[in-house]
Amino acid sequence: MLGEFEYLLITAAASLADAAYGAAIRQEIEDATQKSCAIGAIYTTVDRLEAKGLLRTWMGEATPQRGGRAKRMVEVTPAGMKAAKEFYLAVERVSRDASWGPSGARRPV
Amino acid sequence: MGAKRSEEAGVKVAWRLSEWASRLLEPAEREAVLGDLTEAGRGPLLSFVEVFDLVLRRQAGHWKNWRPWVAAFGISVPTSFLFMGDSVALCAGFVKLAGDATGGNIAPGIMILALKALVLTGWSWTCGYLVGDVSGRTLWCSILAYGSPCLFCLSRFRIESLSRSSLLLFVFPLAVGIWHGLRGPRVGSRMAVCAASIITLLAVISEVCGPGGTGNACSWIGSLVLTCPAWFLAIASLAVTKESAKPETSLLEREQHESI
Repeated sequence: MLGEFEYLLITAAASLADAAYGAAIRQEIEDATQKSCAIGAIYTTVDRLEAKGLLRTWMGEATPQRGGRAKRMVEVTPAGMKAAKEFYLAVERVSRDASWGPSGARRPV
Repeated sequence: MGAKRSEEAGVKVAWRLSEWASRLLEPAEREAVLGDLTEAGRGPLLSFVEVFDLVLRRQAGHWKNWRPWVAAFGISVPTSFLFMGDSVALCAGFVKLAGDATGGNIAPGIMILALKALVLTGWSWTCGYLVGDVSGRTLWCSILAYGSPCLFCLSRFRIESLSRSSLLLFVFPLAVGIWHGLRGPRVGSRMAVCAASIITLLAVISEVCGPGGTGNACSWIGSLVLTCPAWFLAIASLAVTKESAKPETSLLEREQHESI
């Protein structure tokens, strides 16, 4: 099962599609969580997910905005999409009866 | 004016620190991270903190593997003390021989000491090669593990007839071994077995002909410990030769093996 941060990263990358790379993924996660995210956490997690076969990365093109430095592009593999979906469904199932869940009601004791 | 200048100087220093810290990363990752920080418009100090954070995470990641632990604490620390002991014994032997030079024939004594010097060189080189090969990315820690006992013993060295540098005869062959382990071509299996056999034979001869003869158990144990890395290298190179004869392993498996 994915970890919480791994899920955030995979989902951010999937949402960004062709524009998924380090800085963009970080911005996406920071916007979603409303908390700052270390670039170190992003890259170590990307490596871990790539080793598990859930992501694929390659060096992209350099741009002037980046001081002429290349980006590390990220793409979610089919296995990564499956893992993210499983995590999402598990969270949905376990949150069903929580007070903050979709039903908003507690299970009777 | 003065405040602006010192602020600019501070910004320059912070950027330099970021560039310096990023050199500890892989080239591709350095490029990506510095590019991301530039794009995000992070200030120089924050950039340095972020880069340093990633460097620490990468270094910590290496220590999940057994290799750096073995290199630093299994090889470097114990062999450092043993090498220093052998270096001092070798120097003391030469000094004693020089003192006895007015006496009879010193040729056998010189031959035995030359043999011990060769054995020490062989031991140092093989340990250095093993440390360089096994723990390339945590080499700084292995070097620290070699250096700390040296500094400790240098500060407590009290033999008046010898210089403090007599502790460090092993350093040059060790450094050459580390360089070869890190950058040089892999030692072939035949060469490794041959080297291990020669080192073992020379070590046995130097122990038998040495002052303790066959009775000095501590000296024999020390020699055995110092000969182990040479045999480990021989066995490892035989295993690599056997592996390379098999069908190609996956890129991921090869990268995982090479990652430390």
